[in-house]
Amino acid sequence: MGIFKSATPCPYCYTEINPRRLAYRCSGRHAAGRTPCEKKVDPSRQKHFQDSEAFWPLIAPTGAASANCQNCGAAPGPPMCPECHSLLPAEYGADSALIGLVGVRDSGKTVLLSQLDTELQNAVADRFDATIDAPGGASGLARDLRVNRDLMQRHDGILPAQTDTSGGRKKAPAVYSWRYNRRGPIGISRVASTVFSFYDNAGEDFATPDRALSQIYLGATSAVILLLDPFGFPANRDRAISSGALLPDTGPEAVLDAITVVLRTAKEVKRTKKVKVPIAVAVSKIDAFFDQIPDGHPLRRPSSSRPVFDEVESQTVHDHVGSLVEQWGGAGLIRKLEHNYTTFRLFGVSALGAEPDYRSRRVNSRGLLPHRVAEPLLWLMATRGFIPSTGA
Amino acid sequence: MSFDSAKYKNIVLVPLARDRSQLDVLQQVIRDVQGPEGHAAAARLDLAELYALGAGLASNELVDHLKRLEMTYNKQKNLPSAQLLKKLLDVFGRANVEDPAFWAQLAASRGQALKGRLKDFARAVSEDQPLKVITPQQAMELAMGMGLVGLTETDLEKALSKQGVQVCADFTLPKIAIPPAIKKVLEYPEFRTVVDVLCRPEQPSSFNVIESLTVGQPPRELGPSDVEAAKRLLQQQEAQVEESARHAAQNALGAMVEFGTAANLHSLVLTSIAASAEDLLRRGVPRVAVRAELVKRGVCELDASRIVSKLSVSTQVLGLSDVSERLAAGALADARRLLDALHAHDDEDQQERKLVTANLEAAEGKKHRFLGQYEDSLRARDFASAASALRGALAIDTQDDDLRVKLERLPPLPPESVSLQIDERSITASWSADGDDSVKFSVLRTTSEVPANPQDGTVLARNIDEQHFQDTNAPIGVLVRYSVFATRDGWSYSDPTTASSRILPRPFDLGASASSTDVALSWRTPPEAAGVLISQTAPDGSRKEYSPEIPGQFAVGGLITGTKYRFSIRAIYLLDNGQRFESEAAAIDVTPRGAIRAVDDLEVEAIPGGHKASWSPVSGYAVELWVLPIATQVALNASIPTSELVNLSGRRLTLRQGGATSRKTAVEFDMLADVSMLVPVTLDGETGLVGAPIVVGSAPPVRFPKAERFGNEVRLSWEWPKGDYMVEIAWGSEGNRRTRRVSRTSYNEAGGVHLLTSEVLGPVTIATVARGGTEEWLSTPVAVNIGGLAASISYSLATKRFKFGSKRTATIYVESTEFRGIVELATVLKEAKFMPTSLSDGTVVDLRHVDLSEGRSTYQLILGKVVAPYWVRVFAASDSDLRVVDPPTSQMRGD
Repeated sequence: MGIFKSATPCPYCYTEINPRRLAYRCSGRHAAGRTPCEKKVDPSRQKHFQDSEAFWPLIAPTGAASANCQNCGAAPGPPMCPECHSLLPAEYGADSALIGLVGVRDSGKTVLLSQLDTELQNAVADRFDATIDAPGGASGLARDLRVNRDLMQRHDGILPAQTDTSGGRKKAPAVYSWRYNRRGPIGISRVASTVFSFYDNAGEDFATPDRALSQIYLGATSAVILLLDPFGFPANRDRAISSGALLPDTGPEAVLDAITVVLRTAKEVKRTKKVKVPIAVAVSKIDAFFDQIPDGHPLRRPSSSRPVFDEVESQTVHDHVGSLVEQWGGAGLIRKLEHNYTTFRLFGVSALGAEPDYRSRRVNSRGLLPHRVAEPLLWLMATRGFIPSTGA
Repeated sequence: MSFDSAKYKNIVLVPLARDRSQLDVLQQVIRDVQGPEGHAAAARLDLAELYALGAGLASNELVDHLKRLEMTYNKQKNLPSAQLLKKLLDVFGRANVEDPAFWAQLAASRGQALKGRLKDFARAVSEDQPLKVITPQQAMELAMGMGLVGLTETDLEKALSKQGVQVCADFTLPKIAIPPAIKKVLEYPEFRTVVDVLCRPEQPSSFNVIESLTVGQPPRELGPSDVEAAKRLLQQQEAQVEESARHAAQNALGAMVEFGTAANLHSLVLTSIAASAEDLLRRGVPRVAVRAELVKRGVCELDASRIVSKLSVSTQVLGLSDVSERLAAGALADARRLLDALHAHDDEDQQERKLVTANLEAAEGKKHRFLGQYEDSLRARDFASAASALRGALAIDTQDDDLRVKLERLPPLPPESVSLQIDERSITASWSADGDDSVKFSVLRTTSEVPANPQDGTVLARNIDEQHFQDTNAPIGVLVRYSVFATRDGWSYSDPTTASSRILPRPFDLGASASSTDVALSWRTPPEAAGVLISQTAPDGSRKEYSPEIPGQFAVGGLITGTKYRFSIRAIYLLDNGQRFESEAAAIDVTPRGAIRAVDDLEVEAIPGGHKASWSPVSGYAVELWVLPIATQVALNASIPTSELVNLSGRRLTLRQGGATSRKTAVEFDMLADVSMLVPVTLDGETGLVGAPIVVGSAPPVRFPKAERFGNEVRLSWEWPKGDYMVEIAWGSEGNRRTRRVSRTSYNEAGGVHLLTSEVLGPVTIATVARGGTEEWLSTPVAVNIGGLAASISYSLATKRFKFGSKRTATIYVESTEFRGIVELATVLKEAKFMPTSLSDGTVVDLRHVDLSEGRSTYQLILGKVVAPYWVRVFAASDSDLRVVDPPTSQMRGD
């Protein structure tokens, strides 16, 4: 419903902004005979990101894309968020998505994001013949994710450290732009583009609804990936203990309750209605349960390489994961999803692909062998109509 | 309301256990309850709080509450409060405590009991306090002491007031020095207090002095204007006052002007009156009499009582014991003054006075002796002894500032242990001192005797703070003496501390060059040197000495190639008096040998258990073999430190003799674990010349290979060996063997190696590929077990609803490309949200043998009435090895 939507969240500061009324800076190329502008510390940058770099001044009034700098007559620079003054990717528009990644402590959120960062720019980009970039990848979360992956890929790779709790502070997200040629219904290809961003939070931030409510970005999310630790289900506790994995402090249902409270509050959902924000529920560390899943089972099939999202295959995986979760004692969780969300889908993923040494936090010596990590995101993209899907 | 045991413990039991006085009261109550007073004795306690009794507890609730209390007491056996409360319950008796009326009666009688006890308390305080004044803190402490708890200050104040005792806030006595003029004026009978001086000729009958300095009614505050007015009045009425008293009053008023403000004047008057009261108390005057005296002097009775009460807490009469205390504290003069002021009286212990007097006199005698020693030492210029004597005297009389001044005026102690360090042509003198920062030093150089004073010689430094000095102009070859004087003021100097030495610089700029059997040496010496003496030492210890004829140059031949020789050169100095001295030796190691060259003909051959290497020998130089990673770049003939080879992950090989000949050096070494670069290094000290490397060894295999099936793919993964290698995967049958090579990067990007199941026929092997230049080495291939896969059959199904009613049918199409024959299949129906996971997870609605001899079969089932959502799933019978591949779940699920 993008054409009716006048505001969409900034991928950096999550403030709802009007994509047709963005801010611009002076480009610094002053007009002949005019005194050049000086770079100064931008209070907005400082407030949002503690950024004390000097920047060119803002062009007033905000939203005037064609207005030159009133001081030096320079042409405007690229568009940016009128609130936090972050440069917005050219692909930013009303259909840009803010995706929240939530899950309990040690469910593997950071590992999954690190692996997803690579998958997006390699396997997914190849599959959809797309350009998927992380603008500003040399800083913030995108940089951290690459550093994490480099550390995991070493000969004696180590898992990322626990993510610090945000305590309600804003955290820099990982922002991606996706651009590709989409074939229309009558065979004409047109460039489609979007921007989406991920936030990585500490699991403790979702331990209770009270703490989750302090995660201000959640209120602005347009989709959620809920990562569940399979060791958190009652039937898998013995397996967790025997493998040395940490038993989650918070059960899967507690996290779902917390995120549900946040979304209901933020989206002002009535008691009698369901939350419309699509939620992809991914059961992580699925490789640890391959011994329960026979060869040829849909959960063991690799991701498709076709440039479409296979809805039938996804639904099949959903049903099989649901059956598995029920076996593990998680039927209540599925019921909560059905009663609270209009759109949800279950996935089984593994970012590491082989069991790590939980005690020493070392990656399996055979390296990173990810399994279906991009599926939840692709489903969300298909749900938004950004990528084509079949079999629905 | 439920009883919270933890909360009760924290609120009642623990605080009570920590309050000794309350525990005492509780114990007393337990005793009293057992005595004639009976249960009424417990009325003084707040039992509702102690037993957490809520209002209006019914009988059954009370019983339940008591049961929980008892459990809590049993748990908290270590808390005395718990045990006492339990004991009190026992003393009350079970029948009583379980009756709500019993507790109600105790609560009702509590108020009356408290009143009686409060009255007793006030009466006791009144009898104990003749001044009839008490502070709120004192009242509260006394009440607590008598077991009266839970009362407010107001309750106590009211009760005490009825007994004539006033509760007044405590106050602070100002600590200001009373000017002598004020003390003096009070010696005249005209002036009872400072207030009389201010208000002359009036003598106020009652003035306030604690909260404020006010006189008259209504109260008027005295201030600086009253001082000025009193001065003027005194001048006008000078005839009315006796002359000396007038002078004293004028001086006192003059001193009061200095106090400036009304507040300061108030402090002065209060201090003065408190001093008078303190003086009386010290003299042993009873407190009531002191108060009467203050009242007589015009202080209002309440303030007089408060001042006396305040002072009587801390004032005591000084006696002989105070003399001893002052003596022990080193206040000799104070002790003497106090002893002289204490007049002997009849009831005094004469023996004690004698003893104290003797001790004081002994201390005074000791101090006197120390002072005598000081005088004697000073005359003998023995400043150290003089200082020691003064310190001794100060230890006895620590408050004698005169001793301290004398000590400061003594010259400092001489510096300790002057040491000399010779560095070529300069000499550095350094010394230590006693840490006194005010001490400075002067340094002198002499060539003969010790200087008599700081000017008796060449003054090198005067009054410096540092404790070292470098002399760069010291004469060569001559014995010189360095003397250091210490001073504080630049006039009075300590005796000097000295040290002497002789500077004999060694030869410098020593150099050497060698050929195969000759060595040439070069050096320089100071101009004062007459020549040098060269000593040549061979490794076997044999020595030869030479006296070169040409200054600064010498050559020696006939040396053994490759042998290290040490050449030591000493400078010779001749003095005017004909004495001859040799300096310390400057030494250099030289090895005669030919030109260094890199090994360029290294050859390696395999031998059982290892390798044999050989190369042409380099005359006079040792050659080492280093193992470096195969991709390392090292240039031929590069001179490189051996530490750098280590940084390049290099490892020096341990070599064994391998049958060398005159034309070839041959060594042996153990087999290498992987493919590596072998580099010959010709050693020249800490660096080496890199020779032509060759590649040797074998590639390390991969570890922990694993094959896993994922749908129509097989994923291969393994642990990579350390180093820069590729891996070759081979599969297929003998005649149709296929290979694929993967790098570490592509392996990481793809998450292992993925092969299509259909193309993986025959065994799969994984081998490491090592590359060196254009050559390649493969490790021994490691086989990976993929495992067989049971034949599969797949099915699809369609459910259909009857036109009428809710009955449904299912049509199942079974097919297989891998199996031919008859298979037993079970169809399971499950009316639930989740699909069945096994034969037993639902209802088996059909069990039949299906003939797949032609590869496919179809059958239809009537499911009957079914409640949605429901699932239909086909399983192979339990004893079958076949795999049943499910269709998309949308076919299996019915809504």
